[in-house]
Amino acid sequence: MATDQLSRTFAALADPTRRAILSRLARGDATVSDLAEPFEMSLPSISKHLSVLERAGLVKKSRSRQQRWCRIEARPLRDVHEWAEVYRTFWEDSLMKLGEHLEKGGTHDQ
Amino acid sequence: MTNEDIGELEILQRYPHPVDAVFKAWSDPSEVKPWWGPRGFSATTFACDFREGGAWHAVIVGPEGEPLGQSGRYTRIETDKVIAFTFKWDDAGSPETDVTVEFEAQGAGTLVTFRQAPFSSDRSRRSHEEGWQECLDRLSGHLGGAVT
Repeated sequence: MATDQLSRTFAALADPTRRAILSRLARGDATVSDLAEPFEMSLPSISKHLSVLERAGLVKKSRSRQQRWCRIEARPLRDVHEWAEVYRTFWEDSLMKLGEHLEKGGTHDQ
Repeated sequence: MTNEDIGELEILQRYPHPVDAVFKAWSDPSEVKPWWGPRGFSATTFACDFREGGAWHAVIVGPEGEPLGQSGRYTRIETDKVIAFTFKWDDAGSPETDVTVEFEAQGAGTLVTFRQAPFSSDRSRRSHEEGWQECLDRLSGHLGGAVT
């Protein structure tokens, strides 16, 4: 089991349903049952996914009007962004080289 | 899409226990509570008025201690044969489904046929199948002995 924050974040993101839940929460808070219906899941299944997201600090739950509301907590995603940022130079370098290559008129190699 | 296309959920499970013991595990609240809920969950409440028209209510608690309430009514009871009930999560907006559990003596053991319907989609049905299968497995664990 991952213990550091970044590993917990990546582990939580390593599931398409959980990424889809985050993307839904990015458009606004939702109740657990709001999420169960569009994701076509049983309440316990969605609750398990939310627990993983909550443990990773990506979702926060609160209670109001007899309902449990879920809210996205984007802070751990900043660390993901910072982690990936280090590698930006590699993909941008490649794009630059491609650009130079195309400018030299090299659409096909000689 | 109609409900016929999606179909109902059906799970068959055999237990090496006599039919009255398996029926009791579904009808006596103190016998239901220990196995009620999918893997990783446990029931903190299981209360029922076990008769046709009688109500039942349960609360299951997940890994993070989040309580999920559920309730319904018994619609049909035949001792050692069938228990049918309605099932609804207490959260607003959750749809009601019908559950039928049939018990059939097979040699010294029991065949349980679990059915639930309707579902809004095939995906939803599969998700519920996973949860109920975990419940039925936990029932095996509660009764003790191997499932055949």
